[in-house]
Amino acid sequence: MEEEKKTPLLEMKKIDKSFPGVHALKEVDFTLNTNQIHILLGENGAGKSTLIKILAGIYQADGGEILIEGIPTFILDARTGRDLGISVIYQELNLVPDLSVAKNIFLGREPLLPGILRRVDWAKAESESREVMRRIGANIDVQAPVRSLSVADQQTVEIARALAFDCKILIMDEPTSSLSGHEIEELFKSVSRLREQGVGVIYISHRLDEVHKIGDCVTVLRDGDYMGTWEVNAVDLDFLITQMVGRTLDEKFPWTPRERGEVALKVNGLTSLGVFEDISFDIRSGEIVGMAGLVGAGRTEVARAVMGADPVESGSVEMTRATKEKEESQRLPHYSIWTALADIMVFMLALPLFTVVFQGIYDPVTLNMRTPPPLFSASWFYEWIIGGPKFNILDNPAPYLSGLAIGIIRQVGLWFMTRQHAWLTMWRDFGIWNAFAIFTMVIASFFTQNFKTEWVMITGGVGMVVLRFLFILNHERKWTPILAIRRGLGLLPEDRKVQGLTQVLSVAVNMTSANIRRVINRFFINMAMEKDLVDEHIGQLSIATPTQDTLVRFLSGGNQQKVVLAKWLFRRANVLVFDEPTRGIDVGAKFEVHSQMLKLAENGAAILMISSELPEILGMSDRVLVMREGRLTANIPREEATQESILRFAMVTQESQEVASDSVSNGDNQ
Amino acid sequence: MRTASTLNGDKLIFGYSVKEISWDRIIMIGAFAALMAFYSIATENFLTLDNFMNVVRRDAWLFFLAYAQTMVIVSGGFDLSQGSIMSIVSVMAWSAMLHFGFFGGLLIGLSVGTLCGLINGYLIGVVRVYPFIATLGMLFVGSGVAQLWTGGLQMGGAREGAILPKHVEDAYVTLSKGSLGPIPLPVVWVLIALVVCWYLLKYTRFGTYVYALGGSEETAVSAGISFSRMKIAIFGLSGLFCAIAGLLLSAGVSAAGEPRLGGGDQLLQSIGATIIGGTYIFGGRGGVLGTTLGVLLIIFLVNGLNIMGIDTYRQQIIVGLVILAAIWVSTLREKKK
Repeated sequence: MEEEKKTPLLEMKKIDKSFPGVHALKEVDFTLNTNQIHILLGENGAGKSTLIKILAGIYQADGGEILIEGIPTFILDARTGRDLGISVIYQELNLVPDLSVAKNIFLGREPLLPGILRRVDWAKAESESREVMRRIGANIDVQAPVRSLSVADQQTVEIARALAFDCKILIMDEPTSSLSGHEIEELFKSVSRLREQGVGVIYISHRLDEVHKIGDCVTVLRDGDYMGTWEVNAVDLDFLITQMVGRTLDEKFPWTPRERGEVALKVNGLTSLGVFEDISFDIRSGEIVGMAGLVGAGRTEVARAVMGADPVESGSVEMTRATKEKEESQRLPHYSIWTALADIMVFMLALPLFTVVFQGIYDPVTLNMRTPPPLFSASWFYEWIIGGPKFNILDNPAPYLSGLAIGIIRQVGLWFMTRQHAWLTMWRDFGIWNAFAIFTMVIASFFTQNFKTEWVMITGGVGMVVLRFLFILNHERKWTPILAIRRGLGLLPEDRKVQGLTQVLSVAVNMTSANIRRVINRFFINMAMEKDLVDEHIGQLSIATPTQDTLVRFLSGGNQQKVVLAKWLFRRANVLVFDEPTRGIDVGAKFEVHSQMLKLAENGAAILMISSELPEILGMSDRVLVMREGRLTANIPREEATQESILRFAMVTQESQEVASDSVSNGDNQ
Repeated sequence: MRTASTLNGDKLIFGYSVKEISWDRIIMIGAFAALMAFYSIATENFLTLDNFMNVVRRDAWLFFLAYAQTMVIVSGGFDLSQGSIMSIVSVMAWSAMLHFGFFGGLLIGLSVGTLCGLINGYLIGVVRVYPFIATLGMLFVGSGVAQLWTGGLQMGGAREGAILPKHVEDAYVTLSKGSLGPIPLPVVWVLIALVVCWYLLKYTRFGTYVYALGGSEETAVSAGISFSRMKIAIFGLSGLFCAIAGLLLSAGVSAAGEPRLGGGDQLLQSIGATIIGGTYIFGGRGGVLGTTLGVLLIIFLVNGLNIMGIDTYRQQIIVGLVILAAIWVSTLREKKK
């Protein structure tokens, strides 16, 4: 009897998996018992996702065997996995937002009522959903649409769905990454309840402090290698960290010390709600700053915000280029009484357009000009739509007064609808209304031949344009990619194939696209000059391309990266943000990209290098910034940076770090 | 089950939580009521039973197009070929009626429409062409085939030449002009279609999968729903509804086979009615009840403008602005979420 009890729920023996160029899993063992929460730990790219994808049936293992309750099993596809009782809750939620909770839980296997109409038995589905909810102790209205639930509740719905499938093995891929503290507690409670009901849970997490809170066992993977499995009580965080790091540092990096100049890029308190918060750092010219962190820590988002590509809630980016250009920071333009007046004037001017469009101003029968309707008479509103007024404010002020009213109503309405940034929104579509007003002027003067009308409109239009320029002069500009590039910022994006290059255009066109003015001679592109300059850059970066007219998509990854770099050099950018500069690039090209980076820094460029590869961070950076969950957690000089310290800042919350150091010092005292 | 407050502690109005009340629907009903009131006051002939019956009789086809479009859009697709399918069905049904009588012609018309829809569905579901492209192709091919079939000329109706036998023509016209007691037949067809669509969307697996596909295709597929089969079914159904619409409209224009029948703004009106009716343009939300309101709004808007003597060009501008306004309001609400 006891022997039988010990048969593990799941046993994976010597699982091996290779992808082209990567040996993702090397003979990994993994065992899961019933009533157990087993935590799977590892760095970026350690092979955790591959392992669970094999278990879910998305990938098939190259070698090794999987035993479920002692029976050897092949998991052919996702369906087989589900039939075997394996459910995966992925990081991004897998629910239909507009369907109700019950419909989501039973999606794909709705119970039918007997009869020819094939009516779905929603009552049964709902009562069974309630039953499942009660089992996991959740208090969720099963008729509510999933959209209306909090993220934590949505996660509970996923768990409920897994349970309704009679799942025996539940895999949770970083379930807490988007939850707040209270929601995490709730989730832990329901996961613990699952354990009591005999479900085996595989729990993947990047938060080391969760290991001791919820786990029974912990398995560590490193670069596809199986490092071992331990009871959580037997290990501490430091031990786990040392197990996770320890990648060999045999790669060569062309790093040399350099002189640093002035601050070239200054980021102050950049915040984008829910993405990153209070990011402040600066980079001097000649400096290479590495930015480490786990995938999803918000590094790419920060890079995009620095570039001005994504909006932020607050904070500013300053670039102090050696030119005499005024420092510009990002600020929301505020709306003054003058801009409001100008806005209202636009509406007054735009209104006659409506009357023209809808009714014309000539009587269709007699082709005579219509007489304006008596003001505030019974047919006033009707005539305003049907009748054609003259555009003389003295004869017929009705349209103008209506325009005023519409303007005010729209202002107030917009404010009510959006509550915040309404003034900003107003300003954004202001340009459209401006064009509208000028159009009105033209149309109206064409139809009316009425001097007074033209006079009103022209003065109004000119006045508005003047006000608009006053507005622009009074407010500093928003930080946008155009402005960032003008200040000398260049971004080499993570997804260079899509965001960095136009694949179907030639090397030369891609290179000159960021600064076409440099090769424009009055009106036309100076082809000879373009050719020379492009050749110069190709030589300088030793880009391996047959001709400069070769399409970019025929180049290798490393050479494509160099073309992106050449694009910014062509623009003479002096602050460069490299996002994963060597991802998907072979070793030789990697070294060259690093050498170019160094050469740029020696020539005074400031470089921010985002990388998920710790050796690259340690090998190339003068200083390392570490991000964790949207916050900057460390700023470590090159001399003090080690794999352990970086990983600690990237994975462990501040509080538990303090607790850990407290316990260490207590231990010393004793 | 419902008590004084919901689980989330929302305020209740008439037993429903505030969040459950569909403000879109209320705004639309309000707008519709205001429109009717305005026309009733502004014109003499609008608020008469005759007018209402005439409007629904004449524009019944739009309900069918809009119901089909609603299902397609909810499932995350788009059907641009509706007008062309109407044209094809119109000429083919007429030709078939010449040889096989009324019911034979009807059957062939419906089959041709369904077949066009199934071809759309095959292209989208199996070949994986974007709905926009696939149905755009069908739009051109369909209108070309319809015109080739008749040499670009109208068949029957007011035109000289071959005509349908009298009893066939009478039966055909009855589809649109007939009455069931006091109720015009087209109203009956529309009510049947409404009930069928509503039942399909609300109470069957098919309907749930339509919403699931539109809401999150990935989730639907990973829940074991067959993308290809669903697309073929949805577009086939759309083809069938377009065929019915084509037959109704042909019957309405004195039983003619008109190769340019669906070449006007029928397609745009069906999309417009669907969107005004609160169906989300990128799928996942909406339904035929809203679409019914949308169709009513459009047809009575146009009817009222007609009675007021406003010409077609200005009518088009106004309808366009109404559709824009509806989309604008729904985008604003989307942003708030």
